[in-house]
Parts: sequence; structure tokens; C-alpha cells
Amino acid sequence: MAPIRDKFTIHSKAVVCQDVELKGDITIGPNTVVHPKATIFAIAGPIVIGAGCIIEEAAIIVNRRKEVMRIGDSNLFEIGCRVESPSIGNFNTISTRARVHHTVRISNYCVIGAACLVVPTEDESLEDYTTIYGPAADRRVWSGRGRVQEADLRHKHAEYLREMLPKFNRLRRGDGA
Amino acid sequence: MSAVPVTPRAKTGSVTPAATPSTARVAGSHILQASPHYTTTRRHSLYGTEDRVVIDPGSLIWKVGFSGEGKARDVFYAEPHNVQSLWSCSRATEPTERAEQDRLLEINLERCMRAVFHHSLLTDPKSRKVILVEHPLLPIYIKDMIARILFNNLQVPSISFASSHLLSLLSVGRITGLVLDSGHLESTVLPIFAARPLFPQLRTTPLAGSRLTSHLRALLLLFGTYLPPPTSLSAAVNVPAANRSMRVPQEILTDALVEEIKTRCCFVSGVLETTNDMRVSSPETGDELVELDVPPSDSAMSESSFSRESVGLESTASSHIASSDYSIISHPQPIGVSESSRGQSHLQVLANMYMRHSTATDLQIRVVPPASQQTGTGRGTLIIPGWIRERAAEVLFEGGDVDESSVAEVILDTLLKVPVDLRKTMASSILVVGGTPMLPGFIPRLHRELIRAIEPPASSRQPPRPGRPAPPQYDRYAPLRPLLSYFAILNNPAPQPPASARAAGNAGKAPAFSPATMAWVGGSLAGSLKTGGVEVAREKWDEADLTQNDDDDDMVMSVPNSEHAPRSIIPDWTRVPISAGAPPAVLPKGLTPAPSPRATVGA
Amino acid sequence: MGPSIQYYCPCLSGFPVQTPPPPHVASSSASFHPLHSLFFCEECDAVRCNRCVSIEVSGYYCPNCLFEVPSASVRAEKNRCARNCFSCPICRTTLSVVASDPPDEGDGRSSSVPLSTVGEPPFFLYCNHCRWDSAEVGITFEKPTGLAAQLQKFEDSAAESLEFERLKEHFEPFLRTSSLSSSSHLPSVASHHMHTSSITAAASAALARDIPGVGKYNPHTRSRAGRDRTVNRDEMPEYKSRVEVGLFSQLGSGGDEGDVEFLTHIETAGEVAKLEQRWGNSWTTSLKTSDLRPLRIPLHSKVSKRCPTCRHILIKPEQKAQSVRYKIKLVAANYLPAMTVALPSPQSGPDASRRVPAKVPAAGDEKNFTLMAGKSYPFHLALTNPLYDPIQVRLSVQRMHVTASTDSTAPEKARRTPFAVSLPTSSFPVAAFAEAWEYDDDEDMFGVEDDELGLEPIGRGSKDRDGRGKVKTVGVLERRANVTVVGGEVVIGKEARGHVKFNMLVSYTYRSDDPLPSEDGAGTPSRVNAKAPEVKTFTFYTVIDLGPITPREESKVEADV
Repeated sequence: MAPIRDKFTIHSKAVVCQDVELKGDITIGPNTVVHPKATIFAIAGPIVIGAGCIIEEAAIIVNRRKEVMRIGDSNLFEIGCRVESPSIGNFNTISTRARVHHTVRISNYCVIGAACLVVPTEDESLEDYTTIYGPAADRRVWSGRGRVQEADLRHKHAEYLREMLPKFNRLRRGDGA
Repeated sequence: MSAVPVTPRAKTGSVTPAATPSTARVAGSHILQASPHYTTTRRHSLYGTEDRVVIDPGSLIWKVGFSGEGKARDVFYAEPHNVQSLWSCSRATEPTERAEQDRLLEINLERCMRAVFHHSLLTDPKSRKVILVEHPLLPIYIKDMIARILFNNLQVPSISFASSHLLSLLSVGRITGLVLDSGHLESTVLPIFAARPLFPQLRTTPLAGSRLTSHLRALLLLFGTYLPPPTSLSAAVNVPAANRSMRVPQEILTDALVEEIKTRCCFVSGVLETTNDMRVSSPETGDELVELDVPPSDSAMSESSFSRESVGLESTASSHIASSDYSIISHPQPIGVSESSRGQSHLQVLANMYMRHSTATDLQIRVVPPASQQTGTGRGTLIIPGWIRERAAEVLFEGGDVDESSVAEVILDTLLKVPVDLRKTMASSILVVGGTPMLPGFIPRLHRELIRAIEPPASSRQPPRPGRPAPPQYDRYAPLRPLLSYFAILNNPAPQPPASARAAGNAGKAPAFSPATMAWVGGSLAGSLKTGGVEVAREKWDEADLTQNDDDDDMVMSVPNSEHAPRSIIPDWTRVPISAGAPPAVLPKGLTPAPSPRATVGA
Repeated sequence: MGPSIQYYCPCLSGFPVQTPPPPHVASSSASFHPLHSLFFCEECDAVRCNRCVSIEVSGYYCPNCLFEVPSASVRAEKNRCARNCFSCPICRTTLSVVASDPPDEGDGRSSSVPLSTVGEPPFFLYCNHCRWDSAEVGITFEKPTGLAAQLQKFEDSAAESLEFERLKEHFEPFLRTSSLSSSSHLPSVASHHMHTSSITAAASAALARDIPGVGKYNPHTRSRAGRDRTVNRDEMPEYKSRVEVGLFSQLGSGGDEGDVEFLTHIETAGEVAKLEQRWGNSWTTSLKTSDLRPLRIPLHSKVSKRCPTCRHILIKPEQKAQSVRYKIKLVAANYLPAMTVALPSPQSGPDASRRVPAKVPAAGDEKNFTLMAGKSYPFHLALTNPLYDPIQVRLSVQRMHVTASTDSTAPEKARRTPFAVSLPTSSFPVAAFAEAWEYDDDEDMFGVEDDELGLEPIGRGSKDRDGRGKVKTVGVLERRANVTVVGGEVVIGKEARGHVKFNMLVSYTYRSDDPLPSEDGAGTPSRVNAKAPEVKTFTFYTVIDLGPITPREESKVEADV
């Protein structure tokens, strides 16, 4: 398999810090924030990240499959999480040190709790509003109440970061690399 | 609910379902009665020191709270880390071993008792009288130990010892009845007449919670399936789950896990008509299962083919469910046969039969892999066959053993011992309490088992098994047959259409307190009524302590000090000289004023 | 786990026995405690532990909102926070109060609508971890404050409370009349400790009235007709339950049959609530996880502890919930020398011995370092003197008891070949504590101390490595500030297994000028009459666990290498 050539398409309104490891064909949408020390590897296929996502320090996003890994809008990848899902919808939260395997597709409004391992051996896709939590990675379905407030908070969070991060970090621009 | 304008829009929840008009009325009366009751519950003084502390110390689970309240403040495992019982029915015979056992027990009891006051109730033990809900078979040395801890370490002002069976009866508004308490170690039946426990008629069987646990463990070991977590996170996708499935390693079935499966997944369903056959073919079940050396699976096959014939038509309906449900389910079966070629044939028979009849779904639960296999890739999966969930509790209803009568038999045995005049009363006011009856379906099943056991033996129902002598037509419960229509379980949540007016007036008439907490609720009730059992005050204890001190010194010095002479001050019904046959309640009028204090221990 | 040392509290062995139990017995672990959890009673001159002190509540507070709850309302509020503190019934996370969402625009992107800060009713409780919310079980609130109070109304009118009151009303008149009627022949005040309870009294009264007519145990009067009299023997009106369990199940919630049905068809175990999540209910409740209700957070208490024998206060916290300080604090760490034990690992030899108190040996080192059967090992004990006066310490191994235990216990235990421990036999000094040490600790101490004491810890440490006693391994190794490090050695038998665990008796002498020198100034005058005869000795036991012994088979290989 020929290694994918690096090709970074970063929207002009995205904030991607310099100290980010990128590899492969990566597209980052508007208003998305990528903290320093985050890692995004498009090993086998390209990665397309939508708008308004937040990717925190030491988060790892890997695409091991040939198909395009699509990450929707307003997702939050917290510190030290590792995500290989081939598709991620909108408004999801992957909490600190969670690990999501490439057998899992995530739809919308899902929450993967802190340190949860989601490593099913067969392909599966998480329904909207699925919450995974606790040491045994229990699941339940969120009623969705409070999602507007959470989306609003996510929005403000990203807005704040877009303002603050450039003050203390060099930014990376698309296609230049 | 909508008719009542109150701020929190809480439904009263499942407790009073708002489905039918009658419930709406119930729910409404809540609110109507709320205010007067509000004042009555506030009637005790602000600091409420006259409310007593009610402790129901089980070997496995403790329930604690204040008297006058409808539910316990706290419930906890006595051994929270490894969910084990504090004591068991047997006690080491070797002196040093026993001394060590006792020391450990005392340490644990002390820890629990201190937790009750300082952690659960946050109250000063020195200002609280204690009601100790006491099981009639609680060994006197444990009782003594508990008293010693409460008086010496915690310095409570007094302890009342109250019989758990009687208290349970109080909690359903009665003082006469036949109480079955099926706890962790034992199921015990005690008839109580006019608040007097008829101790000589007490009957007990070890078929209870802990036996169910060990049976469940044996079944899971044989018929459960374990999917270990993937060996590495990247390789996970290559191995399909079915290929990873293996027999259940013994290490993962910790007491805590089996307890969780028991309380969360298991239930009791109706009588399977073929169990009659089973109870003959599988007399031994329980702890020894694992070591059993039984002929190989060939016989199992013949057994199963036999039971298939006897089962007949109904099996077709359920069998496809069992097979089509999940691809792995078919797997444990061959494993069970091939790898355990050394035995468990009767378990195999059980499995085949129950599997065919069970419609219960198989469940997967996440379990912590054994320490040696922890690869940091998360938890393994344990697949529990549906029939185990449904039929594990059969072990409690399998009778036929002299020493280990089934839960139904132990009730009937007690009835046989009860004076004839009382039998009808007792049979029609059976109360079932304890943790094991919390299994959904337990009480209705018990009722059916009672009826089944005393119904005329229908020899036509089961053909005698080939190659074995037909079971003797010993009609043990014939004397009880006239009572057939009177049997009623007070707290039967699903009472059968009553066979007699007497049964109709009793079956299912108890308040909907849960069986496990009835003894505690009764203790709380007794406390708020300013009654309770025999009360021992601290002064008396200290007095007795002083006089005993010399003995104690000697005993501590000598190595096997395990035998603390139990203080005579602790009430103990077993030491009452009991005239055989005559229940202690029958006292001529002249004698009633001074009943032998010991005879009324439990009251 | 590295080597550890714990201190003995004699409370569990009856007072004539002051020697601790042999360390191999499982029950002995309850007698030994880490130093920081122990107290010291000055009156009794004795160590006290959390198992024996008597505890008094000095205040209640909510661990979540730190609100101090007056003790008058604690009882009525069931030891639970009556404000807004709840925990999630599913995962026990603290719940937050959340307002309802504004009308959604479909895609959830409401950035154009500024959310008001107050939020709109209805409010509900929301778990940030597992996303449970109270609206799922139908609990919502009009205003976001005093939620517990809003809910408590329902608690007080809960089915079990009402049924309970009804039961009380049922029994009360019965008890009253029967105790009246029986008062004639029942002693009103029990003459001795066994009070006849009123329920018994009631029962006997009922019996007394029963007997003439019924004569149920009299075979002569027994008859067919008599049978029907058995209907109600209690002489007590039949209790009519508010909610009968039999009817209860027919009222929609499914009851027992419904539960069986539900359990038969569940797909995941998670649908059924855990036992721990429902065992507090005394009323028959739903099994379903989805019916669980929010839990009010239990209060915590601040407690003061007293000596069980002399009743003096050992520790007393400040009243305020936020404060972590104590008004009285007689902790054993201020009286007994603090000890740490370390096995100098071959790699990091000198450093490990030097900085034992800081527990420097990294976890990795200790894992590599195992105790082999048939070898001997040096170990280091660092004693830190908390007193403002120097102390003289003498250590001795409680040998007698260990052997006693092996003699008397089961053959299984006798098999365990004991190991031999050597400790410095003579007493050694530990310098006094001075506040100044605290500041010195980091910088100049190393150089200065070594010069002053003329010790060569580095050289010695390196020679310790072979552990064959060519160099002095047993004895005082190092003295600096108020810390003295002594070496000991353990010789492990060839067939030994289990843990190297032994009891050690520590006795130290100090000058007692009665109440402890309160300030550092007190140190100066006392030094003048340093030879004053007022010397006291305190003795206590400890247990040292050096770790598990690796059985011989493996050790042989290792030793050859």
C-alpha cells in the first residue's frame, strides 16, 4: 500500500496549532480548533473533519480504513482520547482517555465516557444519543434533554478557544505544509 | 396526579401506578393524608433520642435505621469488598483455628457496628437504645459477641433482642402466623401464636441464598460462555467472537459477580411438570457439584432423550428460540459435554430439559477478566443462558433429602409439628420473608410447591424411571391434605384464586413491604410502639461483666480462649427447658403473670 | 507494594494481654494501623486507634455543598442534604440542576438564540456523566432551589410511611388495652433486667381471655365446632392493609408476574437495577433501572474522638465545614517516632537508604527486588523523632511469639520455616525535632550532616550491596537532623514462604518535663538539665512486612546467575 501523500486542507477560519502532528490527507472545516500536541493520522484513507469541532491535547484521531473518515460538526475530543471510528456524526463527546475502535461508527449526540474502551469485535454503529460510561462501558440512551444548552456551550467553548489559542500558539495553515 | 397542584411534578412513581381509577384514588389519598401524617411523623422530639436504633445484622447484608421510620436508613454488605457472609453454619473445631475465626468475626462485627453508628446513622451510640433483630438460630456466641461490642465498644444504653420472625409478622399487622425466613445461610420456619414464637416447632433447611449462589456458580461454570477481551486492541477485529468463546474460568466468578447475577438476572418461574422426575434423578446439588464424579455424558444423552419424550409437544415452541437467538448459544453445549466428560450428567440433564423449556433470553454481562489475563483491553463478556436465569432457583424447591428439605417441605414439616388445632390457622397465614424470596416469582412458586407436595400423589403423572425402583409411595404429608384449600401466603404478590374463604381473607392481604425488609420494618414498628424484645441494660451487662471478669482472665490467658462462656444475661431461648410437645404458650391462667422470661425471648 | 510498617493498638486483645498477636494470623491485621491513623492519649499514656476511640458527632454537613446542617433538622431530613444535592441513581455522580431547553430549531444549532442565564422551567436534575435526567422518571421542578424539600413531601407521604403509620395505629390500642388489662397480674416494673415487653404482655392478656372459651389444647373440649374458632385467635382486629401486596400487583405496574415477564425478556442485564440500587426500599418497587429515582446525598459528620478509658478528647475538629483544622489533635505521629522501612535495592543503594522517609525507591525498583528464600537481606529502618527532645530508642524483635505460633498452630503453618531477623541490640539516639530542620531539609543538609557525623553513607551503601555482612549492615547507619537510619538484616530460611513479617518492639526513653515542650523555646532550658533523672520510657509494638518471599525453585536460578 502506497503511503498517502500528506495533503492538509485547513479552512481559513479553523484554528490548528503548529505543534500538531498531521499525516496523510486531512481536511479541517471552519471554526474547528485543534490544540497543540494533538495527533491526526490519515494512514489508509483521508480524514475530513467538519465545522466547530474541538480536538484537545494528546487526542489521537486515526483512520485505518481506505474509505474517508468523516467527522461531523461540533464534536469534542477530550484530552488523551483515541478515536478510529470511520464515521462520526455531530455533537458527540469523546471524553478523556476514551478509546473508540475502528469497528464503531458514531452517529449524533453520543457520549463516550472517560476512559471507556469501546472495542467491539464486530462492526457496529452507535445510535443517536447513546451514552457509554463507567468502568464496564455500560450504555444507555440519553433523552436528549439539555442538548440545546450543551450545543450552545460547545459553541461558546470553541469560540473562546478560537480567540485565546492564537495568542499563545503559532498556527498552522493549510496546504503550506 | 394532575389533579393535585404541587410544585415538584413528580409522579408517585411505580409504587402507586396511576393506571387504573383505583390507583388514582390511592394516589389522591396520599396527598390528603399527607398533612396530618406530616405532623405525626414530627411527633418525636427534635433530636429524637427516644427513637431506637434498629439493626438487622444478617450474615451477608445488614439493614439499619431508626425506629418509627418506614424504611431502613442504610443497607450494606457486611463484607463490602468480597461480598461474603460474616459467619457460616459451621465453626472450626480445632481450638486455635476457631479462636482465629472468632477473632476475625469479632473484628468484622465491630467494624460493621461502628459503621452503623458512625457512618450510616451518624448518631451517638451512647444515647441510643438498640433493637437487635435476631434470627432464632443466630448462634449464642455471635449474639454474645454483638452484645459485647455494643456495650463495651460503643456503650449503648441497652439492647433489645427481638425475634426476626415475630417482627416480620408485626410488619404485616399480625401476631399469629407461620413465618418462613429464607436468608443467606438458612431457610427457617417458625410458627408464632399470639406473638409467642413456638420455638420447639422451628424447622430449618440449608436451601437458601448461599446454596443458590453455589448452584448458580456450578451452572455457570458448566454452561456459561466466556468471551475474553481481545488480546490486543489492534488485533481485535480479526478474531470473531465465536472463536474466542471459551469455558468460564473459575476466577471470574467471584462471589460479588455471582451475587450480582443472582440478584439482577435470576427469577423463578412456574413448576415444570418434569421436575418431578428431576428431583429423583438429581438428589445431589450444591457445593459438591464441581467435584462430582459421575459417569460420562453418554448416560446424559439417554437421560435427555428420555426427558425429551416425556416432555412432548411443548418443546417445539421454545426450542427454536433457544437455537436461533444467538450464534454462540449453541456453543456452550458441546463444550459442556466434551470438556466436562468427567461428569455432571445430571446437570446436563437439567440443562437439556430446562433449555428446551425456557423462553428467557440469554444475557451478556461484562466481567473483569482473571488477573492473569488482564491485558488492558477492557472487560470480558460472560454469556448467561436464559434457562440458568430461570431455573437456577430450582435447587431451592428440590426436596426429597432428609437433611435438606425443600423450602416447601420445611414449611410442611413445621405444620406437621404444630398442634393440630393450630394447623389451619398457620397454613392460612404463611408469611415469607428474607432476601431469597426477593427473587421475582419465588412466592407464587412456593405456593404452588406447597400445594403440589400435599396433593394426593399422582402416580400416573410420571412413569417411574426405567432401571430404578419406583419411588416409595410414602405419603408424608397426608395428614395435611385436609388443609389443602386453606393454604395462603400472606404476602403472595400473585395470589391464586382462593380455594376457601379463609385463604381468600389472607392470601396477598399483607401490605406490600418487600420480603427482605419486613423484619427490619417490624423492628422499627416495635420500637415506635415502645415494645420490643427482652431488653438488656448496660448496667446489667457491666455487672455481669464484673462478676465474669475472673473467668475471662483465665480464659484469655489459656490459649484456646474461643469459648467465652456466653453470658447468662443474654437471652437465649435454646436454654429454656422445654417440655416436649406442649407449646410454651399454653399456660393456665394462673401462670400467665410470670411467664418464664426466657420463653418469651423473641417477643 | 514495598515493605511497610504498622503500629500496634492493644485494644483488640483484652487488657491483660499487651502483646500483639503473631503477625501471620489474618486477624492480626486489625490490630496494626498506619501511624497517621492513630491517636495518643496523654492521660493514659497509650496509643488509641479508630477501632476503640469513642466518637461524638460535633457537626453535620453536606459533603457536596458544604452546608452545615443544624443537628435539630438532621433527623427529620433523614441524614440527607435538604438543599439541592442529589446523586445519580445510575452512576452516583452528583447531579446538576438544569433548565429546560429552549425550543429547538431542528438542527440543534441555536447559536443565534442567546440562552437566558436563568433558564426556563421546568427544571430537572441532570447527570453529566451518564446523561440520566430526572425528567425520565417524571420529576421536574418549577424553581431550581430547595429541590429536596420539594421532594420530601412525597417521601413523607410515600406508601411505606403511610402503611407504617397505619400499622402503628393498628397495634397501639391493642397494646394499650392489653397492658391495662394485664397490669393486674403483670409486674408493671420488671424487677430484673429482663423487661417483659408489652407485646408479650398483650399476647398473654389475649391468651388469658382466650383460654376459658377456647380450651384449644384441652383434648376433651376439642370438637369440630371448635375448629372455626381458630379464625381469629389474636383477639385483635384483622389488619386491613392500605395497599395489599396481592392487589398491588394487579394495579398495572406488573407486580411479581410482571417482573417475571420482564426478566424473561430482558436484553441486557443493565435493564434491571442492581441490588444496591433498590435494597434501601422497604416497599415493593420496580426492578427496572429506568424507574430509579435520584438519591439525596447523605450528610457527613465532623466527629470528635475520645479515649475509650479516660474519656479525654483526642481529636476535635473546628466547627466549620470548610475548615480542615482541629482544635485538639493528639495524634500518635506527634508522640511516637515515625518509622519507615526500606529494602535497599542493589541498583539505587545509597540513595534509597538516605532518603527512606521520602520513600524514594521507585515502584519499578521494588518490583524487581524480591526476597529469595535461602538468602539474607539487609533492610533499613529510618526513625524520625517528632519530639523536641532527643530520644534513645531500643528495638527488639518479638521472637517468642513467632515461634510460639508456629509451635501451636496447625502443621500447615509450622511448615513455614521462620526467618531470622537481626537488629541493633543497643539503644541509639535520635536527635530532637526542631522547626529549623524542616527548612534545611532540601539544601545544605546532605553535605553538612555527613561531615558532622563522620559517617560515610555512600560508601557503606555501596558495600551493602552484597549483603553478606562484611560491612556493618546491622547498627546505626546514618544520623541526620531528627532522623536516624539503622540497618537490620533478615536471613530467610531455605524453605521459607509467605511474607517476611515480624513484630518489633520499640521502646524509647525521653525526658519528661510533663506536658510536652510547647514551643521550640522549651528546648533550650531542658538542655541545661539534660541529665535530669526524670526519664520516661514508652514502649510500643509494630509489625514490619518486608514483602513476599519468592520460593526457592526460582531463587536458585537467580542466585546462580
